[in-house]
Amino acid sequence: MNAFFTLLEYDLTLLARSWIVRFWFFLTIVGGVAAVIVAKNFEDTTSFLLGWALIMYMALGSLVVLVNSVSAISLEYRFLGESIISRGIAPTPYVLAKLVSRSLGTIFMFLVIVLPTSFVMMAMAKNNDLTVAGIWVGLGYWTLMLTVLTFLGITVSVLFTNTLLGLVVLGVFWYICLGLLDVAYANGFTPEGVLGNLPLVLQGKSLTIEITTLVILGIVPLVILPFIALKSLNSRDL
Amino acid sequence: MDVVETHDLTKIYETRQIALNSVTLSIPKGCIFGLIGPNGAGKSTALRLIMGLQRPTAGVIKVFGEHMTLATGHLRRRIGFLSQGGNFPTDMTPITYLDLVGKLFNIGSSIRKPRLSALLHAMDLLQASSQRIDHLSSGQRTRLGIAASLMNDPDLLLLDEPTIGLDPEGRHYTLDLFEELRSKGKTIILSTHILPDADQTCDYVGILNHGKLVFNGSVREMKQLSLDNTVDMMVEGEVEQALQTISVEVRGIKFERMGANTVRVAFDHEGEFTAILSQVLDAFSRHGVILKSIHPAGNLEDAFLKTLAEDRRRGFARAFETEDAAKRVLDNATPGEAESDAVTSDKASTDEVA
Repeated sequence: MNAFFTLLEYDLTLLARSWIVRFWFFLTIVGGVAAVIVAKNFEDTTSFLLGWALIMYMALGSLVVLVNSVSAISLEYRFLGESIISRGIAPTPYVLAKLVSRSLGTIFMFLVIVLPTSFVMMAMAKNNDLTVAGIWVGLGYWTLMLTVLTFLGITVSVLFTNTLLGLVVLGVFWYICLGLLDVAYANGFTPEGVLGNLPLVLQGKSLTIEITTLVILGIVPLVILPFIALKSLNSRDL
Repeated sequence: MDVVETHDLTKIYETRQIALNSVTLSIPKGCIFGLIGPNGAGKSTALRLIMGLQRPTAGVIKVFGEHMTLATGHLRRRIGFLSQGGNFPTDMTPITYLDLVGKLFNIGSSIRKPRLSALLHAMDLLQASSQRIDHLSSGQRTRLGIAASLMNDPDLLLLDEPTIGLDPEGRHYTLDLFEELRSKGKTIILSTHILPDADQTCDYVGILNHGKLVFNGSVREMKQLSLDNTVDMMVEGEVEQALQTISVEVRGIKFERMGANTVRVAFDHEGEFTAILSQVLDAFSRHGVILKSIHPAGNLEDAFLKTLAEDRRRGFARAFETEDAAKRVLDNATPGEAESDAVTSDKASTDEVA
């Protein structure tokens, strides 16, 4: 356990010093402030505005999450065996520390700005239709999706020693999936239609069966992907 | 118990390059074992396999009596490792890196911090301790690597080219350090192609050539390969007169002055060592020459080149040696038998080369 916590601390320090993370954090703050200003001054419903904010976050933030997760291990291959694994470490705590650290980073970056922004929008908006439960469910879906992306990225990071190649492969796969998901749920190519049922979710009108299904669909890869990553790392020459 | 045992260890990379070819080794506790060989001979691969960082294509590696794999992190806790060239997380400083290494080894703060400080001081890295690692010179990186390999006070040290990039003073101190570690009962396996380093520090050497272990034995045995039936005598006194007497009285030897106090004596006839040696000693005694020491002549470099030449000369015959070794492994039903065979095959290969 000690090795796990040491590696976790090491990786969180790396994340905190990352310029990509800092820049994205700054952009998210700007986006959050803008969302509040728009909600306060325009007649559009907050579920519509927050829905669009979340869609934008997923479109752009996915790229940051992709970079952070795909580079997590592949960038360390040059010295991984000699400087880390050779210091009494087995691959399991190393991979687990990477998964936990990058997921915490992803979730923190998302929630620390978007969660307060949502509640501020709810409190200050001209035309609020958000509910507390709706915000929790909506942000829960997003957190789950971003965490799945992080796990996918770290698995790809083990499989591809070339960071750029891994990034392109997973990037193409992820954005195609996002596109297909949107097409499946969209009610037409209008600003409202593209959001599909997301405004309803944010209004707290989700069905329990729908929530359960999506949570199970999200948890399955979170359980399987670490095993794939570990098996792959164990079969590698470092 | 041997600290490291390998049995028919073979590594073929995905590029189909054969890095190691059926290497069988047993390295006893408390010795310095030198893996020597030309560039690309498989020395680094052998060390990485022993460390568990690479998976063997065939064969067995045991460290401290247990099978070594990537998953056996607990075995690596007892090992210090220095890689060739020293690859480190470049955005760290020597202090932060050594601290991380100490934490990974689960060394408590009360021991870790003084040890870190002592190692930085001992490795002459205090002034560079706050610089980023990618700003260090190659010698400083090597010293940092040695410091990191000692952080866990290991029982076994695997050092890949530990004196490369060091200045003469640093090299001298490093070799002294290895001897001190050996005196504390540590086992050291070092790979090098700097033969004077191996000569100065190693008890045993293994010569790798194109992935094949072509010699495995003590340094003394290896030196004897270059000069059979020849000894160097360290003497004190009127040597000139004694040598004149010997040249007249003693038949069957040739001698040569190697320095003020060293005489190299080559015996012409193998079976008459005792008789001839007693005549030489008698002549020394009559002229008041004191014999301080006597040891086999020859140097490691000559022996190394001779071994490589011998290996090349055997040509295609080497293929049958490998087949024989593989056959012996297949014939062995139990691991215990395989182990005893490993020792036998070592001795056989040594005898054969000798």
